[in-house]
Amino acid sequence: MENRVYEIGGHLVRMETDNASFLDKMGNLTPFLSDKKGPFILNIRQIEAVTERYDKPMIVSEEAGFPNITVGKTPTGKWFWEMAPLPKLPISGRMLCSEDFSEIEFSVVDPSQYLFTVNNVMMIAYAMRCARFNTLSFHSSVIKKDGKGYLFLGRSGTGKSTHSRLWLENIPGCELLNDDNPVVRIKDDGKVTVYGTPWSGKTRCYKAEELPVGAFVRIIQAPENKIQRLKLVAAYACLYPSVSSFRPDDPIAEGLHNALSAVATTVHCYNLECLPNADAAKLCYDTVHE
Amino acid sequence: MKIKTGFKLRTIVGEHIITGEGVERVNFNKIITLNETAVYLWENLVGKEFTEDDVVKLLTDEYEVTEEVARKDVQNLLSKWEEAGLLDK
Repeated sequence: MENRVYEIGGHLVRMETDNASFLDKMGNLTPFLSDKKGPFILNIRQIEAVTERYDKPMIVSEEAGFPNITVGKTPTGKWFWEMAPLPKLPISGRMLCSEDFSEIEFSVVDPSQYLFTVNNVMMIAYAMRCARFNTLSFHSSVIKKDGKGYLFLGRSGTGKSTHSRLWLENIPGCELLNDDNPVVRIKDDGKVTVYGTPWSGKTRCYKAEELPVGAFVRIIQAPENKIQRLKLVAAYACLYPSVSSFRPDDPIAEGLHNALSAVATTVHCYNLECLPNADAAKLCYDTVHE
Repeated sequence: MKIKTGFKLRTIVGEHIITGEGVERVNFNKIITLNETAVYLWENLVGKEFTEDDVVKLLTDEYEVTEEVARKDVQNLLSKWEEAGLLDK
């Protein structure tokens, strides 16, 4: 077995595999390589075959255009996950997680889906494990501007990436930090920080960088541009659906609630009703950057 | 009627909210806010089978309010909870 260590969101993740040359070819992971010796928040080991199974699936996530995932608990109290890149495609990988998600074993079932499986195993395990450590995996596109990170939230297809592009085109000095799956962490001093990650959706943007969060903006398609600051509970409710979660597991639900409460009370959150035009980006930037 | 399973009462800086956390609430992405009175009722009703009269009694036992006013408030609250998908009738 060979090891690779990645530093993601300030946490060390260790990957063990017989096939490290494959990992080293994954350009999304290499910026996050670390030579630190631990402690590791997460140990992920690739094995030949995951043999344990759940009794019955607890959750089946099946939506056209999205990975197909089923989750359940095994008789020994572990979490068993099965995944395919899309509904109706064959299973590409399986993963078995210790109850606290600190130890993960996974197998690649369909070698042609090696990248999908490795990335998804890492992404899921990281989100589940780190929720209890004030670390949130957001579904978001993030722009860096004047040393701060601005996170655009919204359902898939509402135009998060489009809004990022509008900032890049219309507001000088902007840069993309991540286009799909950044990590947000509440530091011990209470500061809310956003990190680039190896996961960025369809956009190749893998930056091992951290920035203080400037604001969260939920994008809503509308016939005109309008922005509104959200009060506490509304801010919490705006962030809630954008975080990767598995709330039936109490330690995860508890961790997410504490972290989201801290974020909602510390950082400004906005609703942006908008068109996909330059004025929307300017209105948003003018309102949120102070 | 009954409060559906899988909901959790939580607090953010003094504000009370209901979130859907159980397996059966996987697609429930709403946050419902409760005031102090609603929290008192929720805590006394969760996990139990109850009628409108039971809820009215809870209110009149705890607060100085006529049955008539209490019933109006209860009907209002229960219809909101039902609309939000919190109740099994």
